Amino acid sequence: MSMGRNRSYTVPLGFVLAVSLLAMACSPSAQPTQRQDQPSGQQAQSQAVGKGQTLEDRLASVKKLISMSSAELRKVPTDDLLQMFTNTWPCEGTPKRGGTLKRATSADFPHMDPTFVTIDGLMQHANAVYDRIVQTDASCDTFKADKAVIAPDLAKSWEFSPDGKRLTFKLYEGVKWQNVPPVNGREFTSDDIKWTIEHYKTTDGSITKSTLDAVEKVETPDKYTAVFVLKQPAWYLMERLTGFRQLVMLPKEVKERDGDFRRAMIGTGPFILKEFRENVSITFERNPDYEKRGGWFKDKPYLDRMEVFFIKDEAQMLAAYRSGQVHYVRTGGGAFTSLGDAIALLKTRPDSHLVVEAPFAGGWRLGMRLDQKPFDDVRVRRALSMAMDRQVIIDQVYGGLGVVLPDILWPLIFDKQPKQEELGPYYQFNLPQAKKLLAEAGYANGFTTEVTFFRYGSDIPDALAVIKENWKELGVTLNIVEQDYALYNNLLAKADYKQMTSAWGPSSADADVYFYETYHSKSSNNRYRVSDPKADVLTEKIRLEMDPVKRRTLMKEFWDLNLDQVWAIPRVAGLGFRIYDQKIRNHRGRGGGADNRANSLDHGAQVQNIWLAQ
Amino acid sequence: MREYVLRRLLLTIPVLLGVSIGIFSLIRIVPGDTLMAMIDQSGSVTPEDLTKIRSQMGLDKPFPIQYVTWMSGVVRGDLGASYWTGKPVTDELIQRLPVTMQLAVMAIVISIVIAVPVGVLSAIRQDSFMDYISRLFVVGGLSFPDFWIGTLVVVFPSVWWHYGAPLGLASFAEDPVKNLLQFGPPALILGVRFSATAMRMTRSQMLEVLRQDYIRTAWAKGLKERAIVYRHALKNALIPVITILGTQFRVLLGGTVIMEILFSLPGLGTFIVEGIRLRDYPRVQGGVMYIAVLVVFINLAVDVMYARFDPRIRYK
Repeated sequence: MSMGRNRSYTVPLGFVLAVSLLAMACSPSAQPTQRQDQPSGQQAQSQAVGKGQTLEDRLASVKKLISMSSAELRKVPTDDLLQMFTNTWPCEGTPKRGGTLKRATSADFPHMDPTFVTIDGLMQHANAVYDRIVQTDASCDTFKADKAVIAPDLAKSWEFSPDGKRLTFKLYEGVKWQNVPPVNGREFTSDDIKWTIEHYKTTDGSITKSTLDAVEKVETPDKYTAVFVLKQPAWYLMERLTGFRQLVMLPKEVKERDGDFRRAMIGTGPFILKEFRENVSITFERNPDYEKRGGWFKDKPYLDRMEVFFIKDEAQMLAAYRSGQVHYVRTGGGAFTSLGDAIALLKTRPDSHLVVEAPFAGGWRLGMRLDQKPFDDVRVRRALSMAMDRQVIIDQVYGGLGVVLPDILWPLIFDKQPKQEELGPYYQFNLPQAKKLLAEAGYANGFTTEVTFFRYGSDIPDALAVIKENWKELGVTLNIVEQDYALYNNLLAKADYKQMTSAWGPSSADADVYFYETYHSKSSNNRYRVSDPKADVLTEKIRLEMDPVKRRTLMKEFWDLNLDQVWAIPRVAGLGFRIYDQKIRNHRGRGGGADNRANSLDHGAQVQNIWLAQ
Repeated sequence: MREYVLRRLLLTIPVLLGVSIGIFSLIRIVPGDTLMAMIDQSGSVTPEDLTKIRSQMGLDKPFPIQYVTWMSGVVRGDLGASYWTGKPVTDELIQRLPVTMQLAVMAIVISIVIAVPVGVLSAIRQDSFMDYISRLFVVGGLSFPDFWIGTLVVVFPSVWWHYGAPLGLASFAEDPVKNLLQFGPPALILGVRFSATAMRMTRSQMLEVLRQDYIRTAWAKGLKERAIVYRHALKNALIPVITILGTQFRVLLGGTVIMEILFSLPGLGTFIVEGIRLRDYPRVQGGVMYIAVLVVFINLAVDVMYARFDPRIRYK
């Protein structure tokens, strides 16, 4: 037996170092794609990645894209990407029945009750099981990315009274609740609408209570007619009823049995919940009664089953996609924000769809406490906005693919996307003017402030880091503080953050949320503590104006006021890149910015349209 | 021995009391509110409603009252109900324990299977090529973070061979192959990592024991190496190793969150971490108490095992 002395660890350490260097050398490049053009939002024809919008063209374009070098990718115009990989491609063949759609998501949910919780994690499943009174249509032949097309769901027709204070719905007859105890397949009637609306309005802690502020009551003159009696004209109610996060119709029997809807999900929708294994998976099967409404509903849903696996880790999720175990994955942010990351995945699964989405409103914005110094001074807000070099954020954080927009959906007001130059002086990078404004406001030497954020995606801290550097030139010291989920949302929801926060904005087709809900001084969703009489007057007028042409004019007036006052500072909205198995057909992706538009796989709505090519 | 065990069991009461006060206080010091986490981005709840709900949940009561209410349930085996799911925390823990237990047991078995033989061989062949390889293994095992190894294990097979671990948790009884494909990689990573420490301790203890006079005597008497090592030396060398393995088992039973997340295994670790994220106080409190009880009993078991391995150890 040897009893020798210890040797040095030089050899083992050297081996470790060599392995590390080898691993680093083998790792895929994470360099952002620096682009040379600015996105203009204009539609344009191009040959760079292919032409046409057939499935074959799109798949060929994917193959071409992944074969390009970084230098070649940089030369592909942004508009070409948007054109070729648009989310408005034509219908793909004749739908076939059958198949099991499998997908993975990182967003799980604590319980099933949409009265209290309307996070993505829940609603992506609830929207497959429940119906609404009306829905947003995302049929492949009618879908528009920038406009909400309101379509029948439980109601086949609707009409506002001339004074706008009564909204009458005529329901489909013979619609049945799913044949699951305790509801057992009974007929859905107008009484169910009345019950549901009252449930949302009267239940303590109901999240949708405030969204029904305008509704005084629901009358049910007969089984198939429901009349919303409104306190005031509320044109926005139609779009509000289609919102993917709320206002699903609920069966009273479940509440009578369980006291709430936490443990049961029984609706009238296309899929029946079959099995739920917490933190593991959730499985749905076709509702055989769904298609009996006829017309648009005929033969739907096409899928036999849907299986969703809960996977928290992104690497594991992408592995599931690469190995072909799932047809789609929804990562934390919902889409890749980097073309490089999307291409890296496509290289391992070239048999995939790629959808590139442009947002219709600004993405993350810097919310400020407008009730505090120095943000109560509009000159300070303007200065901060002008000192932000958004082009650098586009280049460094979003690989050259991003847009600059305020946080109001531009399709509500314009026919085409405004360019950054058209957004006024405070959205243009102008450091000398910013310094001048700050000095005029009495902060010639700058000041120190803090911004809080939650890491929904890596682009958020990256963008904040760029802003921090930008503002140094202004003499403003920005301390960036990461918070955990509960604390961040706690403070944002109550507008109780210290000074600034990286705020999410509205994500809905409901136009009212972009005006009254966000900016009126009495709104409970006024997260910046805006208190501007002009904003109050305008948003109230917008709320009450039933004429769409006049309303648009008012919205444009508010748009201009918003740009002038800089109540929040939008940063940059990056393009979104989504990847799906090419067997998925007739899915329409997220219509940029407004989550209500056709979110078949992310939000469960419109899953009845999807079919699988075998 | 019986008196010793009884005494230790009685001592668990103040220990668990201290843990309960600690976790009850700490989770409430963390800023944030379970209600606001529930609301998320989706809408708003009026301040009046928030007050009402807080009152319904008992969150408006003074902390001592909340503590006593909770503890009165705990002593009856009721760890409360999750604020989010409404389900009893006990039921949720029971559901998750098999996942954590299987991962822990597999990892410890792998750790022992690697550490003990390799440590022994490394000691009896000190400064040989075998010894160097095993020491290199130790350095690697202690240096490479398991989340990094885990990510490589997930990513590279999917990129090179389009392979991913099967989705949807399966118990061993339902589908042993699927179960092993799901649990095998994380258990192997944890086991290899933990074996590094255990192997190092085994080796150094063996070297020390092999230098003892009674071992020299055994050699002088002409006993075979196998008998000397396994019948005489190993038993004594294993006592500190048992301590380490016990510590590792306790860590594993607490749930290794990173492995659970990486490999989508819904165990105790993710249960508690999610509870912290969501400020689900009953979940966090119940989970930590559960682990505290397990730790206390594992410690006792380890101490009892000492006496089994070393007859010189007698508890009074």
